[in-house]
Amino acid sequence: MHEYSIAVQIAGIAEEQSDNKPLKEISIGIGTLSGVFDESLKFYLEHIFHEKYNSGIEIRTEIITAEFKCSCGEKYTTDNILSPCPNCGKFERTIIKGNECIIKSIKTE
Amino acid sequence: MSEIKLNISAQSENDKIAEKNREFFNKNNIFVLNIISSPGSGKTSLLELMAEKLQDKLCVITGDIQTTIDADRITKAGSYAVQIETGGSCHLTALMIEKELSSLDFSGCKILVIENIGNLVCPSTYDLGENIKIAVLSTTEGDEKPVKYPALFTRADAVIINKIDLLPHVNFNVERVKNDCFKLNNSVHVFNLSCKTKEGLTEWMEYINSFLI
Repeated sequence: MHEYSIAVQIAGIAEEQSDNKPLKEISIGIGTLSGVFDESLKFYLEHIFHEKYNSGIEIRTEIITAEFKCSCGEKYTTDNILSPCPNCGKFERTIIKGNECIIKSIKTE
Repeated sequence: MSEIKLNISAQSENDKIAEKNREFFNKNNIFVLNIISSPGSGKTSLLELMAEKLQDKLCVITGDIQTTIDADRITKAGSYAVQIETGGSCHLTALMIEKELSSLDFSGCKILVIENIGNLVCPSTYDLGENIKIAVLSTTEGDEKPVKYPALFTRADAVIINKIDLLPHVNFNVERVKNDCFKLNNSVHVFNLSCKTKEGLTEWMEYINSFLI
């Protein structure tokens, strides 16, 4: 349900960055640790833009798989958050990718 | 059509306000906790115990969809508390917190606790301007929560396992929860607590007092 509040923020930023040109497409990257559900986000964005843009605008989402850097230096991606470092087997890691929900780009007329 | 590369966080508007909140708190030497859990895990009971110990050193902003029940409980226990009734929003935002700051009486306050809406999903990724995020998990909720809700448990600086007095009556593996918490965030602090018997309260208050300036 928080996807609606995120969609409102995305819509505001996209409009602000569009230089007053009609928006045609918004591309969004959604990290697997961001807590954002892509289908809900897309639904809300389409709803928000429906009234302004009769033909609608294209909402593209790309899932960003979680990527970690281990204390041993190894970088690895994983769909299983409980997977240890494939190099040393430990969980001493920092998250490099996967927390974010970002507006990657917009397309305007 | 022309393409404009942005790479802007979807929550950048919230995050800008969160930074302003953070500057306010730093300027006023107030340490801020954002407490997140599912409904009924014992957040307010924990805050009542903290209020009894800290009195006017503690301020609380508590969020609920409706009623001032939680703020009233904390005020009765001895600390200043205000309620945000969201009317429907399932999480607090930095803007909601910012709107409260000008009207709050922070005199004597050293610790501010923001008690978020009862929800393990939506509040976890919203920066409110806090110093640390706390997740509360009770023994009656099952021991799979950390892995089912990684967005919260990878971000929590501390996890409280509450209602440990009920362990003889529930299937809850404390070691499993601790191990999963450390796998998700290897620098997390995990506390066992019973708000009913007060077991574990000393250790929790030692942790809190370590942040008092």
